[in-house]
Amino acid sequence: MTNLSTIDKDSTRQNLILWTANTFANGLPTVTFNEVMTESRGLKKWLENIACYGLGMVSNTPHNRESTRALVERVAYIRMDIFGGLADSDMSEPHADSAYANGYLAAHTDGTYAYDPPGLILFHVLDRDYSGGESIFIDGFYAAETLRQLSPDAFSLLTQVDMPGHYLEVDTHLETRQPLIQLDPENQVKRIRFNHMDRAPFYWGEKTTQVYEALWEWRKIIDDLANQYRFRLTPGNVLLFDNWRLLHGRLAYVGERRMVNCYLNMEDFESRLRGLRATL
Amino acid sequence: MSFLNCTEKSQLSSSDTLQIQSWQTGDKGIEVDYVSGVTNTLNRVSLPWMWLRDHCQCSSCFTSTAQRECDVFIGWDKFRWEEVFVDTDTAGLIIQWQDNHKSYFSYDWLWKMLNIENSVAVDERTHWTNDFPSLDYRNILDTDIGLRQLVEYVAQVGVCKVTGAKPSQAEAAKLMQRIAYLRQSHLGNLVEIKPSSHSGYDETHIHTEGTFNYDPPGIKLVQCLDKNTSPCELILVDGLALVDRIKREAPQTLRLLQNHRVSYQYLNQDINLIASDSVVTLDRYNRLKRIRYNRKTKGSFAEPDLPKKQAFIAAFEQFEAWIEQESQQRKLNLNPGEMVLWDNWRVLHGGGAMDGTHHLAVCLSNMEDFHSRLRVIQTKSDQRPVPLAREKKGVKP
Repeated sequence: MTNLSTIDKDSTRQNLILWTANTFANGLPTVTFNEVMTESRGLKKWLENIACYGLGMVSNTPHNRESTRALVERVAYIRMDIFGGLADSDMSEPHADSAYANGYLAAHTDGTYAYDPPGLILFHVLDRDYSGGESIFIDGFYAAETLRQLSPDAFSLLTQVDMPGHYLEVDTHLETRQPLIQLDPENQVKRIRFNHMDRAPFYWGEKTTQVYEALWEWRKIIDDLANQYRFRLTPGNVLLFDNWRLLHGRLAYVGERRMVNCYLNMEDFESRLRGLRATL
Repeated sequence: MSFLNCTEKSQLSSSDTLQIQSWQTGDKGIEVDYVSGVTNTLNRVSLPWMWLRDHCQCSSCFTSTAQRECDVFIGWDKFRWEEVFVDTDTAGLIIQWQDNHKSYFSYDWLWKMLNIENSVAVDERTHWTNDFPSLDYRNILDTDIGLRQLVEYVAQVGVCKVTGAKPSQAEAAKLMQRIAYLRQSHLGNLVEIKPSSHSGYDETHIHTEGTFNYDPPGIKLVQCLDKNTSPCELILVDGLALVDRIKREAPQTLRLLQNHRVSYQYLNQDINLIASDSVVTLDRYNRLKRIRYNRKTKGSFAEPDLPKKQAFIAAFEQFEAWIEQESQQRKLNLNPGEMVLWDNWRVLHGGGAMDGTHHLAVCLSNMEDFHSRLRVIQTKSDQRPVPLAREKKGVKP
């Protein structure tokens, strides 16, 4: 199942390796901070890991915000968004319900309400004075291919019906209706959009029961522990991952957990990788 | 299990939109016979239990920021229904669940849901008949009504001029930030085009911005920073009027422009952006969604079949010929300090202002953020419930 396409066949996504929980038994594909910062080859290795697996780790990163920024800007400028670009849980405004914020977050993709969902997400946990809080990652392309094999009707329905996503705040009302699984013109999986919490109220007419049955099949796959890679993000280890492909979540935690995070556009990631492939 | 018949059929409950005549509960959900207050017809609809519980509107199932807290997919066994009532006082359906949870669905809400799939925002866009609207800078910056006028003009006409600002980039940024944060690109978020430093700059040909972006910029703002009043002229083409014309005069050409993807590329030093899309994208209601057109950034046409390729090239050239017709074009002059905003998914632009001899400030915003502003502004007057501050991204996993 490695013939999945590809947002851009010519250069960026080729030879995808789909994965499950035990694929990374020996750890995630990793390069060091120094390799990325000092060599084009190191940068390319990191980006190729992301193109192949949907995620790539950078180890030995200094435990601070500015080094994290320098690292991500090796790839591209930080995407501006309603959260203000490079977000930092230490600097963010007080939130309505901290208990909720520390609670379990079911696996999802970010920006289901965005016309152009964030292409990549960067996480760097700077503080580990907390317990619990393991991250959950799921290969959405693997999940979609599994669904295509097990329940072709459910797969087909989820590529067709709109899943409305929305984001409401005092001064913001983002909204869009897009399918959960988006295919490219060759019927290869191009993008996953899934967030149970941000799904807006909707009624699919006569198809409503089928939609719930299809969602049920989808959930069976992504809720299956055999498909969830769980690990703890630790200071120094920066994770950059493909938000058009992977779902991410987090178990509840207790304590202080400072994290820096930001988005990159998919097009800018692809642009950098094209350039590196052309010169190295 | 056979259908249980709830016998309170005679009890008519109604709202302005919907009158429930009778309902039956079954394994999968409730079958409801209702009379539509709008069409005055009798309809039958089935509301699956799972859908109902998943859409429970109570404050513990939907947070103040409209996020769904209840997860029916963790195991349907946990969410069996027990009883169904009709509340004649408030015109709503009440469901008592076996886990002691109670859901209430007003008829007005149900009506909205039953029609949501086909609900279409009214297309308020109008063709250009008069001069472009023009608004006062301070009024937009300082008042909600001024901002609302700007946003609605851009939504309806697609173009709005703004006068009364000082010729300064910062003024341009402040205006755009009334709508949304500035969109970031590899050039930054506020671009100054200086006559001296951009000798190679020539964007006079009619085009849309960011054809090589996956999500082309939604709103483009250009401010004239010239010191003297030499003519700083933009040419604008209304893509909506053009597409309406093509629909009438050349539907086959329109189909070609819709169905063939063109690859656009931006290549400059270490930046190499590529996006493929059709020239004209219509929405499912056959209305113009977006034009993506720039002959200068166009790559090759990836069509192996030669006759098809030739037909498409002819359509592409025809499109070029149409936008070059003076009858399709409108000219707009900017004096120092003046700015203009337009809908870049609808309006094509070019002209002498972009020949590299003018001093300009340019900034962009995403279409999704413009639409967000439009929704917030238009619903504010309808007493839109104001959600509490949502958790910030910084605390997500």
